[in-house]
Amino acid sequence: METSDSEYFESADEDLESDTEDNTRSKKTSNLSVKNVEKNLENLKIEHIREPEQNIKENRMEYSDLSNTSSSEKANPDDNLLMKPKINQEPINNNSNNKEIVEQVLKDKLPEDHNLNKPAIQLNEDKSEDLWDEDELNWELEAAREFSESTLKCTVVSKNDDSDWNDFNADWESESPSSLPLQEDGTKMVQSSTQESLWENEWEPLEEPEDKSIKQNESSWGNWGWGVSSLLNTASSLTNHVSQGLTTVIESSIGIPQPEELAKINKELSKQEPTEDKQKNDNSVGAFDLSNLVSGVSKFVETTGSKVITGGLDTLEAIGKKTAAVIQEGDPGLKKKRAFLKLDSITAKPNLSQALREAKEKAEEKCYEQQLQSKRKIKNYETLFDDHQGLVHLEALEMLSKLCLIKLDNITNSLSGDSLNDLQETLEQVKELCELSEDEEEDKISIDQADEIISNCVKEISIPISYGKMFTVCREANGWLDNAKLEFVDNIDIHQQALDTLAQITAIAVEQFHKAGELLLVKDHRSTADEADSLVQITTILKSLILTEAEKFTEKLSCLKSDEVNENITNIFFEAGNSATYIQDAFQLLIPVLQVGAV
Amino acid sequence: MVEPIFDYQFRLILIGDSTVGKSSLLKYFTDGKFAEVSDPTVGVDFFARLIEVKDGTRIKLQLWDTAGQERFRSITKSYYRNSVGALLVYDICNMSSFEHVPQWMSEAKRHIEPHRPVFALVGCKADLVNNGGQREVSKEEAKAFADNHGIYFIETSAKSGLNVEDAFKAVTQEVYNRIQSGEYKVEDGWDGIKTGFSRPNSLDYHLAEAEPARPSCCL
Repeated sequence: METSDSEYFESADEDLESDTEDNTRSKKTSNLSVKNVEKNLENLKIEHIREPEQNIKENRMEYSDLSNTSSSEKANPDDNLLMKPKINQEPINNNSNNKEIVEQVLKDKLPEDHNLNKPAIQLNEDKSEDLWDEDELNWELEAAREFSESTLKCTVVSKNDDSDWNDFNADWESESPSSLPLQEDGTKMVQSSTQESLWENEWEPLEEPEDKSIKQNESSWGNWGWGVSSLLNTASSLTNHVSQGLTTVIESSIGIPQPEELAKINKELSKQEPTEDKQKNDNSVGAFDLSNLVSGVSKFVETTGSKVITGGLDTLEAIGKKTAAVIQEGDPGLKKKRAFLKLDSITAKPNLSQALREAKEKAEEKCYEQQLQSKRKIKNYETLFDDHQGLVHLEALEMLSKLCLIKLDNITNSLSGDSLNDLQETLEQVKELCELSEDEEEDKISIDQADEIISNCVKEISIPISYGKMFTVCREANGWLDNAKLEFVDNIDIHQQALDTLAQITAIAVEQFHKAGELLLVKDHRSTADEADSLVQITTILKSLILTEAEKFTEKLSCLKSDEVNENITNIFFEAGNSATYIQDAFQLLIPVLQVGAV
Repeated sequence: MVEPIFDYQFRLILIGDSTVGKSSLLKYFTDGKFAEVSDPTVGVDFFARLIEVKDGTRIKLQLWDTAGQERFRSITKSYYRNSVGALLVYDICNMSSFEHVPQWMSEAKRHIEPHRPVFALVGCKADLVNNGGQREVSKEEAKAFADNHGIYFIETSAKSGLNVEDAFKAVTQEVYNRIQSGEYKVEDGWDGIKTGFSRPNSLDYHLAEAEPARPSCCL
C-alpha cells in the first residue's frame, strides 16, 4: 500500500485551502445523496441493523489510534511534506470509480423520469437556508480543514443505503489501487476486506521494523482517518434504521464535508450549476463538531417531522450514548473532554480532535509518570526474591526433589509383593509425618523465640545449616522500623522495605531447605522421624515469622495517613501469603528427600 | 545485587575438583573480593552478575557454583541440566585437578541438556606461581588440551583478579555468538538462555512501536 491515507488527507487539506470549488461540489453531492435516499425510503433494508455493532467495534479500535495521531503528526512534518507530490493522483483515480458507482446507484434507485441535477440544486439551496445560519458558518478555517480530513470518507460510506458498502469499498480501494476491480462486489466482502486491511495497517510497523518510522507515520495517518470516519460511520449506520430521513440529515450534516471524489463526480453531474453564493457554505462544509450535528439534526427533525418515525429520537439518544461511550473509551481525562464538548456547543471553537489530543496527552503524561515512579522505587516481590537467589534455590531444590523421586521410583519398580507394600507404607508414613498443622499459622512469634526454636531443630537433625543470616535480616528490619521517622519515610519506602524483608527471609528459608536437602542426602546416618519433626517445626516457625514481620510493617504503615496505605497494607499481606506458600512448597519438596532416607 | 535490567540471562556452571578455587573465582567475579578462607561449597551455590557483550547487549549471568567434593557428586549431576556454558576449573598448582578435567568434561557433556554447552578451561591460582609456588600444570599442556577440544583457555587468579573478567567474558561472548548464529535459541522449558527485561531507555521506543497494535487488545 504505497499510497496511504495520509497522502489522501494531504490532498484534502490542500484542496480545502486552495480549491473552494471542491467544497461546493461536495456540498452538492451530499444533497444529491439526501435526495436519493429520500426518494427510496421504501428500499430501506433491515439487514443493516447488524452493521452498527461491527462498526462500533472497528470504531473503538480506531479510536485509540486516532488519539495517537496527533503526536506523529507533529513529530514528522517532513514525512508529510514528502508525501505531497503524490497527492493529486489518487482522488482523480477515484473519481471515475465513484462516478460509476453513483451513476449506477442512481440508475437503480431513482425513478426513470427523475432529473438528476435539478433536485440536487433545489435541496442544496433549501438546506443552506434552513440549516446554516450566518453565525454557524463562521467556523475557523483550521478546524474546517482538520475535520474535513477526518470526515472525508464517511460521507461516501453513508451516502446511500444499498450502495453504502460499495462506496465504502471504493473509498478503501483508493488506498490500494491494485484491488480496484473489487469495488462493485457484494457488501459482505467489502466489510471483511475492510477489516483485513485495517489489521494490515496496524501490524505493519511491527512486522517490518526496518522502515518503522515511515510506516508508522503512514499507519497512524491512516488510522486517524479511519478512526473518525468509522466513528461517524457508526453514527450514520445507526441512523439508517431510524428512518431514511434522519439518515440523510446526519449524512448531510456530518458527512457532507467533502469527499474528494464525490465532489468531482458532482462536478460532472452538475456542471451547469451556478456556484456563486456557495462560498459561505464552503467554509462550513468541512468543519463539524457535535453541536452543529445536533443543531443540524434537530432542525431537520422540525422541518421533516412527518417523515421521522416515532422511535427516532430514542435511537438518536442511543447513537449519542454509543458515541459518547466510544469517545470515553480509554480516556482518563474524561472530565476535561466533557467540559470541552460543552464549551463546544456554546462557542463552537475547540473541536473534537483538539479535545482528544489533549486527553491523550494527559493520559500519556500520567502513564509516563507512573513508569518513572515504578522505575525509581518499586521492585516487585518476585524480582526481590530472585535478587536474593530465592528462585534459583527453589529451582535447585526442585531438581533435587526430582532426583529423589526418580530414586524412589527405581526402588519401587524393583520391588514386588510384601516388600513393595512395606516400602509404600514407609513412604506414606513419612508423608504423614510431614503434614503441617494448619491452625498454627496465626501464631505470632518474637525473633528471639524463633531463633531459639529453630536452632534447636537444626541441632536435632545435625546438619550444618544456619538461619543466622535470616534472623539478622529480621533484626535489621525491626531496627529500620524503629528508627524510621514518619517525617522521613513515606508509604512507598515502608512498603518497599517490607517486600524486601519478606523476600529476603523467604529466600534464605528456601536456601536453607535446599541446603538441608543436599546435606541430608549425603548424610550417613539418617533419622527420618527426627528430620521430619524438626523440618515441620522449622516450617511452622518460618511461617509465623513471616506473618509477624508483615504485621510489624503494616502497623507502621497504618500510622500514615494516605489513600495508598490500605492498598499497600493489602499488598504486604498478600506477599506475606506468597512467602508462606514458597516456604511451604520448599518444605514439600523435601519430603522425597526424607523418604529416600527412610528406605 | 544484580540490576534487573538485561537482555538475556545465561546459565553457566562451574565444575572441577574440590578446592581448585571455583567459589573464589566467582566471588571475585561478582563481588571483586577475595576471601583467604572459605567453607567448602555444599551442593550448589549461586552467583549472578551483569555483563555486556561486544555489541552492548546486556547479559545476566546466573552462575552455578557446584561442590567439588566427591560426596556431592551424585547431587551436583542433577544440576548440570539447563546450563548453556560450563567452566572447567583446575588448580595450576595441582596436577591431579588438571588430570580430572577430561572426566568433568565428559560428565558435563553427558548431563547438560538439551544443547551442547560452551566450554572453557580455566586455570586458577596463577598468583601462587608468581609468589614462589610450585606450578604443576604448564600453560602449554593446558593450551594443548584446550586446542584439542576446541575450547577457550585462560589462566586466572582470584586473589589478584588476573583474567577473571576475561574468562567469563569469553564464555558469554561465545554463547551470545551462538545465539546470533542461530545455534542457540530461547526455548520454553530450557533455562540455559532466557530473555530478560528491556532497558528503560528503550522503553519509549517500544511503547511507540506497540501503539498501533494496542487497540486490538485493550478495547
